[in-house]
Amino acid sequence: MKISPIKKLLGIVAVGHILLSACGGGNDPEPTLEDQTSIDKALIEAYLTENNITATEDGSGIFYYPVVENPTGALQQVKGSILSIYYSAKVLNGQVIDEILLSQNEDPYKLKQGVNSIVPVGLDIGLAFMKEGETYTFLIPSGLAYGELTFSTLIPANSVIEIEVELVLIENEQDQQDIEETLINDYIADKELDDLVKNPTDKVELLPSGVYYKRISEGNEDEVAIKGEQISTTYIASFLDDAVFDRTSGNDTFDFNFDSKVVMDGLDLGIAEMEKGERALLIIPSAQAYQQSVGVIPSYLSDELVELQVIPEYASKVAPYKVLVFDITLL
Amino acid sequence: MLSTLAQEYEINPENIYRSPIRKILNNFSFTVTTGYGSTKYKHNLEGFYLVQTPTDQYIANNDGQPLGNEFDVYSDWLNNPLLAQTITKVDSFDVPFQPIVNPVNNPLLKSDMEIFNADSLGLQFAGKGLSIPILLSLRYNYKKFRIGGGYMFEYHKIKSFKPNESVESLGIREYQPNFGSTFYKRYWGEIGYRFYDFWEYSFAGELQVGKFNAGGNFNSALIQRGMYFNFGISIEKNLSEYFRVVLKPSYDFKNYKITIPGTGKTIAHKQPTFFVQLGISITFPEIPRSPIKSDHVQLKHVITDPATGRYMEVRGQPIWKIQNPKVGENHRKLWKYKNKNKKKINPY
Repeated sequence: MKISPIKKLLGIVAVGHILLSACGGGNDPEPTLEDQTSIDKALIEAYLTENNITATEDGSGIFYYPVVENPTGALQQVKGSILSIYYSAKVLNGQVIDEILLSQNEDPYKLKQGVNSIVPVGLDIGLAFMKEGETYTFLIPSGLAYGELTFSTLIPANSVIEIEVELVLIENEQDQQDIEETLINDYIADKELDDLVKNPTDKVELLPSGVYYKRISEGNEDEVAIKGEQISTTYIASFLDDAVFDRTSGNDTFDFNFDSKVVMDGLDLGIAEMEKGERALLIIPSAQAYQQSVGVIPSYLSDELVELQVIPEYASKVAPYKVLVFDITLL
Repeated sequence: MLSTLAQEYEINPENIYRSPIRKILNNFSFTVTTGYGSTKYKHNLEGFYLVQTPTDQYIANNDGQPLGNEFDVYSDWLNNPLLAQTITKVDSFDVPFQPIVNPVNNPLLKSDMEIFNADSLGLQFAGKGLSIPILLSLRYNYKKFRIGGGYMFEYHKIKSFKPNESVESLGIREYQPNFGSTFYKRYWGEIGYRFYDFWEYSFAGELQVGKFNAGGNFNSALIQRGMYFNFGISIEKNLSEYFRVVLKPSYDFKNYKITIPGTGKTIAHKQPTFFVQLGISITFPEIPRSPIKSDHVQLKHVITDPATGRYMEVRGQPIWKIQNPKVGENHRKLWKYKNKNKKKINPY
């Protein structure tokens, strides 16, 4: 039989490929996303079988089953309900990585469902199935949890996460605003901000936008920032519990274009009241600040997730529904 | 005395006129070659960060501190490092900037600037260049030694530089020099020794030491370059006493350091080249061609100069002819019978 030169060449190339792939054997390629998904699914199914649990599989890949059902419980909005939950999260067949428990008299964790503001993403999907008063367990494959992220010995890469959630309260934005209003009024009273002897120079003023504004020292009369102007500020930002989470340091200033949708609304709204050279206290409800931010469970993963560009940096500093207090000077 | 001469003319060798100038010039050989050169560039970015944007690559000084939010970056660290820009990094997703919609896994969060610490990655770049050289050299021959100097002009094409394999998965792109081709020049002094002769072939080791000048694409004010060394074996086929074909493989050892302005640091570049050059070498003939037009004698021979009446020796054929071995001259192709014929008086 005569073999054409082209066939010979193809033969050589084919053999070369086989040899190459054989040589590569010592260095197994990383499992692809699909591989990992099927590995996780097998793990979850084995776990369910072993523990004799019947769970429902969602199209997304998460498994869930009710622990406590409440057929008459309040339903969530289709998207964007504010949920207060207690939870206990652990690595499947592993240790607890984070929990907030009613039994320990802790405040529930608040987050907003359905607006892509929850990590793990699988929990965001799962919470949608719950009614008020119910407890569910979710089994979340790694792709919808933390992926390849590793955290010390607690969370290995590609971990399947098992999380038990008790949904205690469903609220909407208005409920949240009312709660924050109470918190802010308590804060004002507690700090005696309206006592002008202790805290000059003006009383706290509630602006129509919902931002609370208190002048601390006067600036240059009638010299105000105009829209689009680049302004310089120094500030110390804290929560209502006085924990400082951000500030300008030393001689650094924070410069931005005023009223140009660059900074969070509350800051623009407050500065609109200020004169240049003035120092003021701005108490900004979450609606004018970072609203639902990102609910990260467990919260200690925030910095890693910022590093991995999964969540924005502000989310590592400001938890969901936080009132912010800016002690700010307009230069 | 006469019997020592090839031709049995009754001429006393002392009576044959020989030009003293030709005698001196006969010690000099002139060589012209061209060929192919392959250069392997290599450098590491120790002490720097590699800053990669979707369109460009820069380096930034690594003084042991994190880069911070404002830093200078430099481009073209192969040949002309210049301050490209001062980068001010603003994380517009930090407090107190605007929150974003759909924050988790939002593509907006993916920064388009990537920064790699070359020190911790051991980042290196290696690239290739191709040269077409044109070489001129002149040497003085003394016995088997040779000493001389030369000049070479290279047309050089450069390709992109690949990062080392260990960082392959990080998405570091190939470094693209800001020029595709350039001209290199060099001049040198050389010494050599002809260490082996085989039939009409000669083999000589040659060492060049000299100055290398990169072309205008290289910023000479920022480049410090020592001497370069080149070692090669010159394989010469002698076609006559004066004329030979030269094939010379050789290897260059050359490096340079380039200063990155504003950092006080340098990057060391290795730039060795392997050359294969082919050309001709001519030694100035000791004797002239015959002035007699009708003189077609094939061997060198003595004539009476028609102009001066002196005896003079003149050249024969410009290129040697191999004699038929049956007539006399040992023929190289019969060398293989050396063993078989070893019992013969003349074993070829």
